[in-house]
Amino acid sequence: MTLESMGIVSGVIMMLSFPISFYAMYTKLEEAESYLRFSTFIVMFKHMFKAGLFEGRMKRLFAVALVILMPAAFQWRRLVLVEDVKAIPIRLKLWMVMPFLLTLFSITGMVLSWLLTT
Amino acid sequence: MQGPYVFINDRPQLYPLLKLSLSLSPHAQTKFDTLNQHIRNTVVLPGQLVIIGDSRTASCTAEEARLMLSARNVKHDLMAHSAADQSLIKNYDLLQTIMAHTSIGIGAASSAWSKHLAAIEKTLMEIDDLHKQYLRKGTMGARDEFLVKRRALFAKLEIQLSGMARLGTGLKNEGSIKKMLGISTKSYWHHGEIRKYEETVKRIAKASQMLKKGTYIGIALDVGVTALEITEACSIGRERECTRAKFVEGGKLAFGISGAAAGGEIGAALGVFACALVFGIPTGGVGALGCAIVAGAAGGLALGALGSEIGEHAGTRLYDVSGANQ
Repeated sequence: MTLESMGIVSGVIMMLSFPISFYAMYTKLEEAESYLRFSTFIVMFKHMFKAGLFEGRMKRLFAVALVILMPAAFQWRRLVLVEDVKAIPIRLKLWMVMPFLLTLFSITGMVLSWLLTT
Repeated sequence: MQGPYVFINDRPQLYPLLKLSLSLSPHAQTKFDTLNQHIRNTVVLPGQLVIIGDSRTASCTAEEARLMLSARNVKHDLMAHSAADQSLIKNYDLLQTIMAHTSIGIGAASSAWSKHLAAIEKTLMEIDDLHKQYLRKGTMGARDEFLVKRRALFAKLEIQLSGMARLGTGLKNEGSIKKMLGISTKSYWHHGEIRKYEETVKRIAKASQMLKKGTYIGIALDVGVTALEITEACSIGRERECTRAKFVEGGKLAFGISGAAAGGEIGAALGVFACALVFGIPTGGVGALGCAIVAGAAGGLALGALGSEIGEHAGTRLYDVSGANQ
């Protein structure tokens, strides 16, 4: 696969990840946030971006994914409790993390293809 | 303190911690829970009203009922707007925040300087304690006593902060001590002011709803530019150029918007996270919002441009594959 193709494939993955993100945003996000209702990071994030596009749901989804992926780092800054993150069911965690990782993966692919071709 | 009072919460914090920080008497704590149903057992957001009841009676007064209604209205409007405008939470009791700033200082180079800073911090703590004692007692006699003691402490602080001695405390030279500390007797708000605050919150809620439209305008402009490019190519009269423009410009638009959206969203989330983690900034402050805006804008811009470039390649490939260039 050429580097140009890698960029195009990454871009396509990014576009395909949107429907998954939207599904998670509108059906799973609030349930996940309810597990983290005592986290100042999640509550403030929701408050900050609620007036934005799609009620800031995509940013909120990525914020929850970050908390799930690195709970210890957030606990270190007293922004979340690891116990609260542990209480989230695995399936729900997957729904939160999957769109984030797909987007991150596609961005990495796009940036790498650009860096290596220029 | 005579009658019920209200203050504006300055930072995101859990309700039990907020209650604890007020050092209320057991009797006042029960009433505090009743009056603050709107924030009970949640994370209390900046800008929300916190009601301190009338200590003279255990039952709820009409005035307190009015304040509860105001607090509920403010909460409702705050929920409707984003934290984009922090100006509404400037007028509150900043003493706690100042405490945090004073501990940071300029690194306390010498032990003598660190002793000096510790002395300033001690004075500030004394002022804080005095405020709490005043809230607990709540009588006219206590108010007079409070004002006298506070004047003495301010005089002490003025000497401690004079000239170069202010360096490293984190306090700016802004004239009077009260102004510098961000406190005044108005820190706990009176009823007329609450009405004004309610109106401000409502106005900002409306403004933030308008701001939301900005994104749609941006997308509409992008679509408009693409349409113009295609129209221009097609108006020249060359069929092949026209078809090619549709593929290439369409690819640029689709990938560009996707890239900008993904970059902006993920950038904002990562920006706030990085700032909170590295600098330990409070998640609700102007700093957090700044990090989100900068990282989100940078992510959106970079990924938008990159997506557009990749979209151009993708469009060209599709055009070649489709056989329209034959």
